[in-house]
Amino acid sequence: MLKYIWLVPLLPLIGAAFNGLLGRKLRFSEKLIGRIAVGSVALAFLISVAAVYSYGFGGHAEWPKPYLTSQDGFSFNWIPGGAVNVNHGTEAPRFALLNVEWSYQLDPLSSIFMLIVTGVGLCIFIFATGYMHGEAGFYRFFAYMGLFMFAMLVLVMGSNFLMMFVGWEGVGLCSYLLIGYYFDRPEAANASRKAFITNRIGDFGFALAIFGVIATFGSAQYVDVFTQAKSYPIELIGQWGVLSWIALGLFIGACGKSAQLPLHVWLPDAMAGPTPVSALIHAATMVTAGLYMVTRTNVIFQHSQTMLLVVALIGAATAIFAASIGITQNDIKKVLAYSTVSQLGFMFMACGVGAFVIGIFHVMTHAFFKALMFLGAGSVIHGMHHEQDMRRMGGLKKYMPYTYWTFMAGWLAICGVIPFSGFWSKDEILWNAASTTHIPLGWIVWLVGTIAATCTAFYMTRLMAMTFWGKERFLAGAGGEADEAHAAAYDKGLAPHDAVVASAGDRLRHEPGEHVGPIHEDVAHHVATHGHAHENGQHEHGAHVPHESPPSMWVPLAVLALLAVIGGFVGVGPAFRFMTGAEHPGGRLNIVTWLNPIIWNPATREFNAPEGAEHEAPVAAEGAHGEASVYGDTGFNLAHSVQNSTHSELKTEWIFIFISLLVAGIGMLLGAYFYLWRPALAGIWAKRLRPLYEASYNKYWVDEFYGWAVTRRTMDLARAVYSFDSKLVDGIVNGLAALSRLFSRIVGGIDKYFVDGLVNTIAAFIMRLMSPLFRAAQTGFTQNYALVMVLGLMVAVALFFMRDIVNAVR
Amino acid sequence: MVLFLFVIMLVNVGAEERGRDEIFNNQRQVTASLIFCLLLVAGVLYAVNKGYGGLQARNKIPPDVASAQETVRDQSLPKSATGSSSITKDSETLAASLYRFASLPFEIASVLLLVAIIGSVMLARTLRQEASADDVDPEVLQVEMARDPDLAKLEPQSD
Amino acid sequence: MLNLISPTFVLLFQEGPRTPVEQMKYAAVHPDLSKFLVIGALLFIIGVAGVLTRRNIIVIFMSIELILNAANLNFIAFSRYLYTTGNANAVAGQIFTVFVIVVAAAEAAIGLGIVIALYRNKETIWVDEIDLLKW
Repeated sequence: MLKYIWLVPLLPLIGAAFNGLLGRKLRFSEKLIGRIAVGSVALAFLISVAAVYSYGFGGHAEWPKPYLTSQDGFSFNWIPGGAVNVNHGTEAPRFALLNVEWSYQLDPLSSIFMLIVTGVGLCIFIFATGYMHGEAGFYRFFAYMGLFMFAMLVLVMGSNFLMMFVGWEGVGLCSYLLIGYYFDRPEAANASRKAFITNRIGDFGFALAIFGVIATFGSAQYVDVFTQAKSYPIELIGQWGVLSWIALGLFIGACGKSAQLPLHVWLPDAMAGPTPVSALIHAATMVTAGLYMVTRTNVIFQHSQTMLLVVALIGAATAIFAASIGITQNDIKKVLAYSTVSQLGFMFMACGVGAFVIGIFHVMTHAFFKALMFLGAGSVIHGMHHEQDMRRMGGLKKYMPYTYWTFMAGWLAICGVIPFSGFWSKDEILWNAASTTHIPLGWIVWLVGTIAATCTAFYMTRLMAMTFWGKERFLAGAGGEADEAHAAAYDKGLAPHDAVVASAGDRLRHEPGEHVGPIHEDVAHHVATHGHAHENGQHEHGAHVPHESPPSMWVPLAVLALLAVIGGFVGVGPAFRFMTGAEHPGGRLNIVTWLNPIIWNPATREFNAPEGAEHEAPVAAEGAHGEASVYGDTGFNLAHSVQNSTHSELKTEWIFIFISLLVAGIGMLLGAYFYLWRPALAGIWAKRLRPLYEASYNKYWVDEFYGWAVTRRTMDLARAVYSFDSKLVDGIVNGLAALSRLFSRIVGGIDKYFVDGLVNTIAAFIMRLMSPLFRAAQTGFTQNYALVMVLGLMVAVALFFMRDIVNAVR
Repeated sequence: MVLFLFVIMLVNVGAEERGRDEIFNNQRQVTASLIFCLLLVAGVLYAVNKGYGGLQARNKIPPDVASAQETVRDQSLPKSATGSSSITKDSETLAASLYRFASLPFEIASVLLLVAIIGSVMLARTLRQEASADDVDPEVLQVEMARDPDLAKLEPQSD
Repeated sequence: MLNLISPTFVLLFQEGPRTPVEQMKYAAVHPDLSKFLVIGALLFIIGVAGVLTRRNIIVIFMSIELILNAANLNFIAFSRYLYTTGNANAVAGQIFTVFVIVVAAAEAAIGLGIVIALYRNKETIWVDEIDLLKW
């Protein structure tokens, strides 16, 4: 089965091609399009499952070695290359031949991602067939989604950096296409452009890093690069060498793709796209591409302590930054978007402190519960007839039970409640942050992470309370409208018509399938087109009672909820070894055991051996501080100091577990208190802490700052260059043209009067002389012509006999 | 030559008889032609004289011997029906060469005659004849019909 | 015309006439090649003169016929000469003459057709009145 993994990216592509190229021409029905799309992804998923099974658990299991399709399967010579000089500086140049092939690699890391992408993707595809029902562009949606699956799978299954880059760009493109799916709405178009451009900035860094990799190692294949990179010296903080440069470029790319500070601005705006898109791309798969890349190149990152510190700090900053914004947002999708950014920060924190495996573990559990929650939000939106503002929801649990119970599973998971999946990964991240010996300042990372976890629990509980519990607010007053305009008016106490939409993201109130038009800023136009009957600015709308979604929508929710509940058990940590009897229970099914072979161990300078997973934290009793000595003295280590007072590693671990559960509980209680038991208190506290509230609600004005500092300054530069070009350069060209014209006029005058005059005079003279003569010859009299003919004949004959005539005359 | 006479009868011969019109061209042309012809006469006579001398020098058989031989040959020819003359072999000799070695030019000559006949018929047709055979250009026909309305009657009835 | 007989021939063939009168009588009865050639040449010149001088188109055509027939005469003269002097190609002249006659006939037919068409247009047979190409 391993030989057939090349089908896995190809099948969604074929499905996308069918839907995209023929879907409209041959007028496929929605059922057919849906079946083609879902079928292709399902088939890809089945093949992935079979392949991963035979890779890791079958008879001739290849695990832990990577399996490349160039061994016995599909591969071709994609870029036949030339010589690359791999020695720089003063050494004599040594050339390696760069041939880039297109082949797929199945190894522990790519297998996990294959399963996540195809599995979660399958659930989302099924959901989307129900959610996008009635859309005119149904075929287009699934074509783009299939294309996205292809690109993402190429990204995670590629065997070299260039294939990863192809997939990287491809998912960026599909993100653009899908965010801008409602292309006739300006905020969707703007958001898609913003996403693509921000991505591109990251891609620039990534491309530079790839160039660096090729120049340093002479190859782009992972197996070649990492084998060579193993033996390079580690660059501690203060030393900055070529591997640090490469890691910097790679991390810039990851920031762009995975929405870390400062390139996070595109992700919240990307909620303008349809909800399945948000679930698939901006929760489960595309944004995790950055993490895939960082973990894939963990050799390079672990060689550069500075970059590890940078990754950890930026991850921590992003986590707390986004979490603090999420607590004040009113749009359900925006809350989830900021939650995604925050959780991605967590993942990068994990990678930064050296726990790459845990980062991937969190990717996996996050994919489950975040996709679940996005789809649940989509179900809520669908049931509320496209209402997205949480202030107009409430008490939905009795109208939408399936959605409610599945969403609750996701909520518990993200808050980190034991034994749901989120707990296992988040707790490990915080433990590794506290006990890391890779970088200094691990305790700051832990502290920031803990606070962010508290905020996470707070805003997620707030979301649950405002949406599913409490009073039903959707029947009151001006309810039923989904305009952000109306929501803004609600805030300011204005009449709804006087409000104007400022931010991107929400859908207008339209049923699916209706033409979605531009936002009206003009009051009269708004009234005329919507034809509201109203008095004093009050709307009278028919009450929209929310309804549960069809099975095509809640069945995937149930599947994902199940995964969110039990998905964490593949990563039961060493803290539970008294229960499970092993450090990492489950053999190959344990994620740490599974992924260790691709993680490079700085102490042994080799990739980890599969048996006996390494502890990231050194054991106090044994003096094997191998890793500590590798990275030097990393300053205050929180876990060590706790351990020194408790003298037991197990107890230390459980203290940290307890702390994280405690903060999760505090967050949940606060959320319930402010939004379930005493809802009025929320508004009062918002007024009391007005500056903080405003800062959080306006996303710390980052977009405005970028607009002023970057966008407008760039346009000023463009204008300056344009005026320079049009005045100076074009002026020179036009001036030269004018000179040429003047010159040509002068020469023309000379030619006309001088030269032509001369010629005409001569011609007239000759004509006066000769013309009467020649005219006399044209008599029109045939016999004259005959006479001349005969004379000529005589002359010819005479010439013929000239010799004889001369002889005779002599 | 008979045709010539017929044509002359058709064409304005009265002028010749009346003698009022000139029969020779203008003076200059006639003068130049006569001078030229006199030159030609001189030249031709001289050339024939000179040439014949050289020709005679190459004679295989001297002419009086040749004529004597010819007289002998003539006497050996068969006599005609009435006995007043003898049947020569001239036409036989001519035909033997003409229809064997010159058969291609012969055929070409016949084609040439055919072409000449057709051409002369076509050239000498009147407008009326051409109209009745529907061989006139429509534009020309319009112009001619304005001058001669009878032409319309001659046009072949088209169905 | 003078008939040049070289002394050698006179010596060889004693039968030839001696006195000028006898010579002339002999030459009148036994015409040789040069006489025919001269006649042909004279006819040719008369024809050329007629073409160049006469005003009547028909007369010009007659003169052209005269030219062609003069050439025919030339051919026949040589044919007879070659026959009597034993040349095997003697009949070629007569064959050529046949074709010249054919061509002359064709040319006359066409020419007369042209003349009739011209006459219908210009109503004149005087050549010097047909001078449309005059400048």
